[in-house]
Amino acid sequence: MRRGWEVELSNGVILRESDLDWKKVPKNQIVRLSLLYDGRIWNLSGKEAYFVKYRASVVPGIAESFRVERRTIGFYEGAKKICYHVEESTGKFSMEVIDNSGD
Amino acid sequence: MAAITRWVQYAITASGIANDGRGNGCVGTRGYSIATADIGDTIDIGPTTNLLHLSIDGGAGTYITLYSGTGLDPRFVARDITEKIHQEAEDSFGGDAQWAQAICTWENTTITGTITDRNGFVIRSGTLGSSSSVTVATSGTNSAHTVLGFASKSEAGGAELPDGKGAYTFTGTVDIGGSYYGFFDEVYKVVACNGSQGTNNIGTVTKGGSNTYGGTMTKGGIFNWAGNITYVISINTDNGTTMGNGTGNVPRMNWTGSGGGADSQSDWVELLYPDYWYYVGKHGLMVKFTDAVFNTVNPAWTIPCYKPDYVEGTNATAAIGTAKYMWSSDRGDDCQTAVATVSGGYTALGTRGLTIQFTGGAGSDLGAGDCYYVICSAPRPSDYNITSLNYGNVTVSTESDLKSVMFEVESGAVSIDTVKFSLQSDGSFSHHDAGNSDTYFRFGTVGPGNTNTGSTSPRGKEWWPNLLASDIDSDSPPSYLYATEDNLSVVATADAGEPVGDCPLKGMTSDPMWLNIKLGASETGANSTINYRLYFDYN
Repeated sequence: MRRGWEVELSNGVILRESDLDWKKVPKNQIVRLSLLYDGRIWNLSGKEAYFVKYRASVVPGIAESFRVERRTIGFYEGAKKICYHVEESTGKFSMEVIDNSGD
Repeated sequence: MAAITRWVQYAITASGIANDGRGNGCVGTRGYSIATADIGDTIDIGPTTNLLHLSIDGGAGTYITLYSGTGLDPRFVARDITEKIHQEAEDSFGGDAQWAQAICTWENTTITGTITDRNGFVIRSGTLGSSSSVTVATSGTNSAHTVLGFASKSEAGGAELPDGKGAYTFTGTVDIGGSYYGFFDEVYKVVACNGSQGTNNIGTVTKGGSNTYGGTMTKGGIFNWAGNITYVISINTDNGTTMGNGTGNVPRMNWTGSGGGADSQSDWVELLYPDYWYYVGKHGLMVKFTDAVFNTVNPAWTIPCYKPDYVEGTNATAAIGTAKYMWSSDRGDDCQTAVATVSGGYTALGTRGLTIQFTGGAGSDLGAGDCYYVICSAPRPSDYNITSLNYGNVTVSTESDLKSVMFEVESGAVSIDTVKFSLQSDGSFSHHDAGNSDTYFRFGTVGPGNTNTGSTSPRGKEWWPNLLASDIDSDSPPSYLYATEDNLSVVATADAGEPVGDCPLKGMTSDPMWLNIKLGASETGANSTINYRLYFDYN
């Protein structure tokens, strides 16, 4: 798998985006969440909860036009979501903190 | 993983409808059918499982054909069922409210008994009162009942009076005025009370000392019962600490309800989605949570709810003109402050355009706890899975007709946000952004995610029928829209697109968008095409 998330569970099992829907990942067993992009890798571990997210785009009504614009892995710090973004077309990396405590 | 999306078109003239429960004066409860089998939180519907046979109010049953797909979001399926029922109302039942105002929801059911999976489908009749009922057939060719969880079900007819009431003080009539400018189905509950016991009869929420949840828990609904009840919510994170991770991987809640009525539930309710309303108890209290980390804790929150004692001052009854009432909807439209009735006049009901009037002769006082329901149906789509918009033959220097569309995710995600609409290509048009009698590509939006921004309250409008080109031909929206753009530019990134609201309550939906073109004076040619592109975040 060139791009996408990869999870390592506490029992050593490795799960990948190409094989599994994120919803099916047993979240309480994650010891590492990684984002892969053409040989680059970003690793997260030791966090209380993780998430993955995508930015996509689509031309109205044309399913074939669907494309991923950005992949995101991240973790929670209480009500804050710490996001690691990687742009799909350039591999450019950025970080973002989303605060869900006050909305 | 790819999210599966679709576009839905609405007639510009489509409009919502508010109803009093099929001539029942807004009094009573709705009969229902609740699916109680454990089906998880994704639904597979195909050619052999797409027929749902329904009978409403004991009348002739009929089949509705459901949308097919794999891993469908249950909120999406619930709205599909509702829209198919409403279509059936028009096709086979002459628009009768029993069908036209029937609603299917995906909700946590609070009926008595042990249920393994408390989140399920509920179909309610559009009728209020004892003649109200819904029956889902559990046999038949290509039946959808099993995949929807109706293999085991709980069905009950409506009651003449809600909330355990034996009688109402008010003997007059209730009329609904105005127009419903909501975009999704909604049920308003109106309770005669003056709010002296707390907003919507719900008191101050206390967070448990060991509760580390740092997000925002919001209370909603309106409480109405014969006694006070204090609910204590507990949270369990054995399966997961955050929402949005699918069944089996999310936090759960249950509660005890002590005081004036036993209303506890030991079955766990999975908190599947952030910012989604969950019922607590049977008497009107709802809660929702922003996306944050939960911990196992009891008590997590303590919520005192009070029976309505007064309608004015410390009077349990009062005449129209001095008596007050409060309202709340199942989508979280809340009054916050009690409204005084007006003798001979309509007063506010919700923020989406409705009003209510109480009429009665001498001695027709309102009594604390008198309760009324108003059932609202959304504008109905005209076409699903559209692949293009045809503006028709447009004359130079004139505006085309408007088209209205909504974007949604049907599967492959649990939430969307940061929706942006853009013009990807102006195609063969040669006078767009050219500074020479230009062609304009116009855009406007309002909806559940971003309601109208006008200076006059209330500002809860989510839809506006019969929009004109002149409503979106400037960058200053009219009072009934959220935003307009007189001329979309060709852009290549999400950040440059036009923001569009989103809503998690009836699926993963964008707000409706209105589009048209004004053809520049020098444009020539025929069959010109443009491409729009929509950006969205999902997980």
